[in-house]
Amino acid sequence: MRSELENIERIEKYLRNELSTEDMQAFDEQLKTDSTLKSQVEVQKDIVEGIQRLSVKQSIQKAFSTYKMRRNFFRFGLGSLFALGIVSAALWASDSIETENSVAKIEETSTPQSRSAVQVGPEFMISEEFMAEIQSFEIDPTIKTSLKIGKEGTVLHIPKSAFVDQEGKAITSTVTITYQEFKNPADMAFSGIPMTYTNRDVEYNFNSSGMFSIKGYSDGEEIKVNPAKSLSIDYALAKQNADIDFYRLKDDSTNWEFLEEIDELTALEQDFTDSIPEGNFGFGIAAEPTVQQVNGTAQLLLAKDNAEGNTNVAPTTTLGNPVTEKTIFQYNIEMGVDSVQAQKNADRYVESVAGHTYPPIISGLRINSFGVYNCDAIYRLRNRVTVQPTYLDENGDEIKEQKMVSLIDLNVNSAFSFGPRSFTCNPKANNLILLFTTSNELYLLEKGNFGKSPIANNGSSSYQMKNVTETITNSNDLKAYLVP
Amino acid sequence: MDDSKIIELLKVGKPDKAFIKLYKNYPHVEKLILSKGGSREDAKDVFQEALIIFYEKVRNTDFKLTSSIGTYLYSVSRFLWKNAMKKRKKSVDISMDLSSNEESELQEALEREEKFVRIEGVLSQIGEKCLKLLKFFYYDGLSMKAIATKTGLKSESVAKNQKYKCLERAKSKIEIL
Repeated sequence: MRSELENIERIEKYLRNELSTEDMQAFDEQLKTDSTLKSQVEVQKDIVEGIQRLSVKQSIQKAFSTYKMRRNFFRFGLGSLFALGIVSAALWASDSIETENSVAKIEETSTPQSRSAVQVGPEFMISEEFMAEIQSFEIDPTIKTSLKIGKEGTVLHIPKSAFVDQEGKAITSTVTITYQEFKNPADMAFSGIPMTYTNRDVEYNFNSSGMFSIKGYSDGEEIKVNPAKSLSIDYALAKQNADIDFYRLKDDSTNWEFLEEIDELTALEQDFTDSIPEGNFGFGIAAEPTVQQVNGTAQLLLAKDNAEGNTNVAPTTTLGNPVTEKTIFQYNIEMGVDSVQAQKNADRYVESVAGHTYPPIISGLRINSFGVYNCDAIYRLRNRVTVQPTYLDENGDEIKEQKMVSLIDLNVNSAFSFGPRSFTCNPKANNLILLFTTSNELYLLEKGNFGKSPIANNGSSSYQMKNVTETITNSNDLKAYLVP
Repeated sequence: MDDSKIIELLKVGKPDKAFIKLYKNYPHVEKLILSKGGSREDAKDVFQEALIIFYEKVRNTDFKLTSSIGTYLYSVSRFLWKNAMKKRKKSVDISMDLSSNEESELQEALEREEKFVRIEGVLSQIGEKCLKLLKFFYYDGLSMKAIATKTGLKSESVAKNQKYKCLERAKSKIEIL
């Protein structure tokens, strides 16, 4: 009598065609008469197929989670815009396709005006080609893991037992970590992630040095980071900016939470130890310092926005005479300024000092929960205007089925999403408008054309858009256009 | 990604990426189910089932696509939903665009699914470790040596023995069925 395990091994070899010719013949012979063996073979075959099917289903479930995540991104981005009061209720309504609860919300928030707005079917979703790629990793949560993400050196460090389920119970089965990164305006344009930050009632815009989303799933369900643990990320900056801080998008997506300042590179400082400018800078946010000659001496004026939005000139400092690249560079390292608007003969220094003050990889940023994170510099939107736009096609007809607008200031690494009815901008900035329709047509207000459409006192303006559906078919095309 | 690339990914055993791509066909199916008396949950189930059917067809047969994958998934979903409504003793107004051959094929696939739902239920009770090990071997096609390393088992032979024990556990549970 064979032991059960030997029996299983033999059947396995039979099924995998690994028996010798002799043994195979013997097995076939036995099958003809031995009904027990026959049913055992059947069961074992079913187990193998069952395992395969189960795995396929897990893979499908994972794909569904990814799909849902993409759709949610789109949704919560718009949700937060609504909170800022710059998106029409119709847009919110059209996007409330995901859950029954949010459908209920429309009833409360719809206005008569929005009811007459464009009808959007539930199938609308920004085409996948315009969404930043989602990478996913499977890990064993019972051991410590470091995930290398991308080629620039980003590494996610995960301690063991770092995850719990919604009830707070430890997760021991396989965990899928998904990572999506938004490095440039093309990635951000239709992500739906709000790019504004409100602090003490003042709204700032983000100029991103890189933004990413990290999520975790187990058995197809979303999981959480264990409150007693935290992940950390060594993050390869997508772009250098001055004054980068680390933020997390709040779960209700209404605002960002400031997490920490990012330390500047100290190595550079040591190279410029002389001629440190003196002065007491009440340094605020979004300063645009200017260099000017005062009585033959170059001075740096530091413009600072106060909470009311007025611009004050902060204490002036003497940079020495003549202004040298070194002194400005030093100043920048000290203050983290890259937007020096130098005047007169200081112009040529500007380029060389802008943005070299951070190391390419920021180590050890703490991730206490899943969500969307952003390394950002913030700035105040100047000459802020709210525009009620009319979008026209090449024939001068109003574009139909308008769905979502993305406003991009080409001098800033960011993209701002709006509903089709209004947007807020600095009309003097190097703006560009992208418009998606519900039938996934993409229209573009080309570079340099924004200033050509006057904005009336009541905010109305009309824009001659170009249909680029055929030429810009994915974020790579868009990136090539935006950042040639 | 075009259809032939997706089929290739499935054939070479890299379905994760393929399924993500295939989900772009989901909104269309969801709209159908919602308009024909179903819920979101129904739509999710129907589409998953359609994906499995598509997967098995690609894997197990010399599958030649005569229409786009999107069209195929849509018509399979129509069939599945009509069938599900029939089971719930509700009638639904969906006309069929399938040949009788295709229909009987799908009918078989459904019977297979019913059978395997039970088997998969059993497999989910054999323990996470066993399931993982069997998955590594039968789905990912890893060698016993690689599996030993991945699961922290001492050696190849320990892993192999463990695999048979896991099969035995599953077998004994299925035989009770």
